[in-house]
Amino acid sequence: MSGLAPTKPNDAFEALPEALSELIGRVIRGTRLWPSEKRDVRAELESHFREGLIELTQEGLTVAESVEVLRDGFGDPETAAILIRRGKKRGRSMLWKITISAAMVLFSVVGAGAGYFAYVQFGQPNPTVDYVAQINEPVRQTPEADRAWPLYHEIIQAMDLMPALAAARQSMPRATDAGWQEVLPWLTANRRLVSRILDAAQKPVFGYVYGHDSAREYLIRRALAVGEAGTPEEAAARIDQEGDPLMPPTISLLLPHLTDMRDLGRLLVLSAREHLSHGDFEEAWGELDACHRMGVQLLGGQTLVEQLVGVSIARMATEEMRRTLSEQHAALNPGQIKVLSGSHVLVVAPETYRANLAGERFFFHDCVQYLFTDDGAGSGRLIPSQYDKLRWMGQSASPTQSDSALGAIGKDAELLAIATAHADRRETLEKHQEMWERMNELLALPLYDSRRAEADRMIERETGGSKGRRFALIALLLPSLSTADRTFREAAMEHVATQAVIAMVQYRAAHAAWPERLDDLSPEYLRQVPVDAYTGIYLRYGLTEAGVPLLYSVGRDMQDDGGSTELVESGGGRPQTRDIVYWPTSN
Amino acid sequence: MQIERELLKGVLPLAVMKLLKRRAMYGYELVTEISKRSEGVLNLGQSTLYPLLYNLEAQGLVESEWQASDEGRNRKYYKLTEKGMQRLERDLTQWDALVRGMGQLVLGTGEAQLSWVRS
Repeated sequence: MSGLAPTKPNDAFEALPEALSELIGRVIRGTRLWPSEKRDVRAELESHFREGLIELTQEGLTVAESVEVLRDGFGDPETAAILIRRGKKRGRSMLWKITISAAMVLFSVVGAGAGYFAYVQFGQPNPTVDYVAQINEPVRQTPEADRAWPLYHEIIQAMDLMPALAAARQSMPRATDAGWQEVLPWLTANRRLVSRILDAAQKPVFGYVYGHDSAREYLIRRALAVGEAGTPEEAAARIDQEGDPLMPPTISLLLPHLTDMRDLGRLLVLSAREHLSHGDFEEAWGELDACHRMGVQLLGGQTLVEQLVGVSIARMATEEMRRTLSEQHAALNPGQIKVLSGSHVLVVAPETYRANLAGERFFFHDCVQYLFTDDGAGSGRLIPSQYDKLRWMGQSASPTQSDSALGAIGKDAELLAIATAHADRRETLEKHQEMWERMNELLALPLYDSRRAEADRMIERETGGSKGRRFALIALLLPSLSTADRTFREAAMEHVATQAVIAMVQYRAAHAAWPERLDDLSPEYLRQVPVDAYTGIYLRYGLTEAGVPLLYSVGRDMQDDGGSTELVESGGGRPQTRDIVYWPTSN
Repeated sequence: MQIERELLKGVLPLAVMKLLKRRAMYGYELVTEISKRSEGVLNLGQSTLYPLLYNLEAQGLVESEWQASDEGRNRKYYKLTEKGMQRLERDLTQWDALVRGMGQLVLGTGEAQLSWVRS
């Protein structure tokens, strides 16, 4: 049976009394059914009351009495509406029910997802600690007169950044090399600065104050030098525009001066080579000594990258010192030998080559306060947009760039997944602390202790695989401390090896022969016999059949290859010589 | 006598289907017929009837159709479907057993008053 409700009754009581119409209206409104269903129910109820009115009035009741009987007999309209709604909905088709259920599930999922996305996406950090100030605190406590940076700053500003600098960076030729003519213009143009560098190198502290302002003028100057901007104002506008108030300030600590400091080191080494070419050993040695001082100054910096640049500059100096002695030792006169005794490298303890990781901890904590919300009780959630900025740091594409809308959705989904899976602020800090302490314990072990490998395995274990998203921030920010530590230890070993080389040359000058053993140098020429970081015992030393001394470390493979300088692959890094030979130096 | 709503719940669908087994009926007619045949015991509230009919229809036990009466008035008639017939037979058997059991329990006799249900 089927059929539609008639739209127009054609009998008595066509128009129902108002009380009944009002009752029907209340019921219909309460059902919240589809319009077609409402029409059907309304027609049926109107028919119902019409039949009732006719019958009751035929039985002798008045219309008013009939209305009252019918209204009382109908019951509560709200309850009726609810029951009618249930009954009618049960009668709807299965397809409709499935569609509605699916739509509701989908809507709920999408709605919940959108709500959650908005919840995490629009979280705001609430940074409260000025970690840049904490990083700068040691420098602030240093008197201005003891700081080298103001002098270096002026020197760098006066330095000529001519194209020949690029050649110098690449080849660092010696005066007898063909490439010397390429770098000579840059050396000549900047030779006037060398004496000022020597003065700056005498200062006990480097004294660079970290901050946007410090970096800004460098960036302006560089933009002008490489033609990225036509005027200082234009360069400044570009740099200021790139500033992001929600980036952790420690991340904004661009250190452009480090490149310039390397160039000052190169200038000293090239100048020393030029002096040597003219037979001026004292001048040359003084410049290498200054280069070493400069490296040690940077070793006292508060950031790991600054310290590593310090290591690099110091090693540039010590390597050049050994090379110079290797070439010049036979010709050195007593006065020149005496100059060696005043070398800065002899008074610097090898412990100076030890990473100061305070800045790295400040850096991590600063990132956390800018990447997480803060509930005021030490916890909070990762903010995907902030995390996105951080992971794109130093890469060419901006975090907002995407190839397509689909790509953008994919990226958002990925960020949401990371933010959802990531540990909260408290757990992240606790895990970082735990890993940091464990790593420092492991890295306190000597290089030849196999347990050190656990440091790298720990990072992989704690931040890789299924935990990759839970501690993504730690994986992103925890520096490769084991690699850095090895660099520092190798530099310390090179440092004491250089001390030994100076002692060897002094010994030879005094005895007209090389020492038979390293022990012969101590204590008159050398306070301590240098120890190989890869074995824990003395560096390998001996005289060849030709009577030439050989001083070396067994190197990373921890095998004595007799002082071999053959290059071998080194775990994905740059090829390394089998042994690290300090004397004689290779040309 | 007014019967408790909970007691009526299971009875009313059976009463409605029983009446519709004879012939198609419209809502008001069902209300008055049930009241009359049960001698006022099953005084069906009108707000209860229509949800009940919609439920039976949703289960496929009854079906409805608008028709013009002899008097020219439009009424929505309900009639039992084949499925409704089968359900009615099953429910009556259960009801019969229930009444006999209750009769035995309450009256001490299995012969309960089932005149209108069985007729």
